[in-house]
Amino acid sequence: MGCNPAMMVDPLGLMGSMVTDLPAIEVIAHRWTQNVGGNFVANGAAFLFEGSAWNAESRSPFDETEDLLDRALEQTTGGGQSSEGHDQDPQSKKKTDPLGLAIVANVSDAVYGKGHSGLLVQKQDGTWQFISKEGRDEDGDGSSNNALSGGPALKAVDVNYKTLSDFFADKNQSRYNRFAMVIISDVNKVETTMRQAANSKYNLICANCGTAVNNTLEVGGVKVGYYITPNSQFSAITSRNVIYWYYER
Amino acid sequence: MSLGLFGCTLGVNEVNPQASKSIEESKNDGFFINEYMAIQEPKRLFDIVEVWEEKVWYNKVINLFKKTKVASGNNSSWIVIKTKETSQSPYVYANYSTEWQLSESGNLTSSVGYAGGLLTVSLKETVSFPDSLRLVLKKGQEQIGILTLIRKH
Repeated sequence: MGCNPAMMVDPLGLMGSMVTDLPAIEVIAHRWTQNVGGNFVANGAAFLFEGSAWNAESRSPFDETEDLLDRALEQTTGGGQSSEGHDQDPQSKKKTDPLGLAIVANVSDAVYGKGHSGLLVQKQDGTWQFISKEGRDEDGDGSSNNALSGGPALKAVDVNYKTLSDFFADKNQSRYNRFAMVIISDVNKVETTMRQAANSKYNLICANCGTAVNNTLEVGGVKVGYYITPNSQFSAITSRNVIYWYYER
Repeated sequence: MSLGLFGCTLGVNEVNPQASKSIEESKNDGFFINEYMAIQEPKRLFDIVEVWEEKVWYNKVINLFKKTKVASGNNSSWIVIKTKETSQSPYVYANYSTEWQLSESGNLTSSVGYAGGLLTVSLKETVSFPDSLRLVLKKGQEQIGILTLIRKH
């Protein structure tokens, strides 16, 4: 889809609050609350888990729900079958099935309240790749590079975490305060797409940090829609998809 | 708001830490801490230009038209590895993560990856910066080589 601001639902980010008021919203996310466990829903089945809320000293809540998420994945894929439909044992399935998890990480108060988003993708080796599109490289590409027309992007932040706990414990990432987990159809393609989007030309409206996440998730089968600001995109993602895990801090 | 769209700093990311482009820039901005030397096995695994430790810093937007650099409030630092990619380079960013994996062999780091086009190694909060750090480069499951970083001073 070409970039036509006139077609965008939220061209100036002014209507972001309306996104959550869309009819027929399928909100399945449940926030973590202090000292309470949580729940999530996969394919209409509710899963409950116990445990205290995550904090810097504890394990990630994801660690505690890993088994449940595995079960959710199995349900989604038809009970232990790979996306190709071949029976596989659980161990080999983890290595070969590209179906997997991604987490949209959002900073709600960044950029004058319009937000910033990056993407965590769980790779097939179990580690997590965090990719974020940075701003415009003001020093590149001469006179055609300006705030209105855009310009070359700064090189992406593209780092690997051995575990999700490592990401949450990384004080350099402490500004990320909202997280929504979705199932994506192909982790390899999603990771590659996000890397390409994050390093391609930056434009405030058509190719910003949020649209990189947005377009990448669409490749992975997640519905987002045509929103500009990271916060309105985040609202659309959580409103239009099954959210397997949601967390705020 | 329309006026704001033309402002320069709307495209500035002040969320993620940034890496200085060189030791010289890091020193000029007051973020430089120490230089490291790199030992590679096998040799020429990376074409390394320079390696240094610097304070983690961020862009900070002052107003729509002005930004500055500020050191992280939590006084953290990380190691930055500047490499030069050539057509002969066995390890390039384009294949990073999809073919190659660079990771620390112990449990000292929270992340290894790229920021601003440079390799960055971020240590866990509970780890004091060690005199040396060992990074393992793998292609698939196969270990290709080891990069050892040793603090100079």
